[in-house]
Amino acid sequence: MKTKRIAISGLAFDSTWLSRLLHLRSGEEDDMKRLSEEAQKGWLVTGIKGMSYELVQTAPQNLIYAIDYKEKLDQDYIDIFKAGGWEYVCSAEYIHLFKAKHGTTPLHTDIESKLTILTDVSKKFTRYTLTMLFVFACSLALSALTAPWKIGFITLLLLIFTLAALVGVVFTGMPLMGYLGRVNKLKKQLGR
Amino acid sequence: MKPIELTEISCLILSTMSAPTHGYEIMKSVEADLEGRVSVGPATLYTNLSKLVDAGLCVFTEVSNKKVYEITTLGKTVLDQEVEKRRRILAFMENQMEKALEKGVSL
Repeated sequence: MKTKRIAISGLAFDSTWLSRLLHLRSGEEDDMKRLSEEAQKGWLVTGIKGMSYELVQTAPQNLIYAIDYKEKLDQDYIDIFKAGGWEYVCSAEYIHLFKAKHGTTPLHTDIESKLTILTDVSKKFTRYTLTMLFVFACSLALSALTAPWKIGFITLLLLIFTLAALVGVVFTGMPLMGYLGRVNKLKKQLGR
Repeated sequence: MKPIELTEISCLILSTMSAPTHGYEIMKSVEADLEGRVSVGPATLYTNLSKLVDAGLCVFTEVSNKKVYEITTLGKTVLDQEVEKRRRILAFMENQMEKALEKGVSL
């Protein structure tokens, strides 16, 4: 059975005018469209591993995909989605992927519920980013205190740790910006 | 308990809980009874259910690993008030349309 992987393009974001102009896949909506196109060619998603979707070759199918966010997956949640025509595909932590036949009622039929969910996710990323910023600041301060002009083993270790913390800030800060942007967009739509 | 502003969708959901009901039964009854006139997506339904529980308007119990939802006394009172409010709005609109017709203007 043939398999392949497709990179996740950044689920936190909406597609931008630049990505549309350059015909680049960017954000949740573009990813879901791509997965739907893959299903029409006979490639179905079986899982999410790291930063990519795993697909397996099968008969072409007319499907749509959608993502929802929930801290803990439970049977009640999956059953409600099933009753609404959406079949559970896979999860990556708090991100859950569902598939349905074309024409099925979308997961969210109001802006308010989408806003609630994205607000919860952005709060989670605010906590992550602030934690990483704190670790980065502490590590940077410690590096400065351990006489950086005399590069010894401890200083080197602290510098490596500081760099790792900086990467952590970027990797949590970028999705945070994406989710906050989407939350603000939805709030504007609701006139808030 | 978090206060909640009852939307049309949350009123619809609450009205299906006169007897203990599974979440998927609520989804099915909303889909079937409204015949597509009002679309309620499953994520919208689930988010609204959680909000209704947080506001104390309904409660759930776990039966064989599945949640069974039931409206509370507070939920019934709030729902009655909302139905009455919507009845008055509807009566007002009908009244305005009748007045317009009497004047020979159709709305």
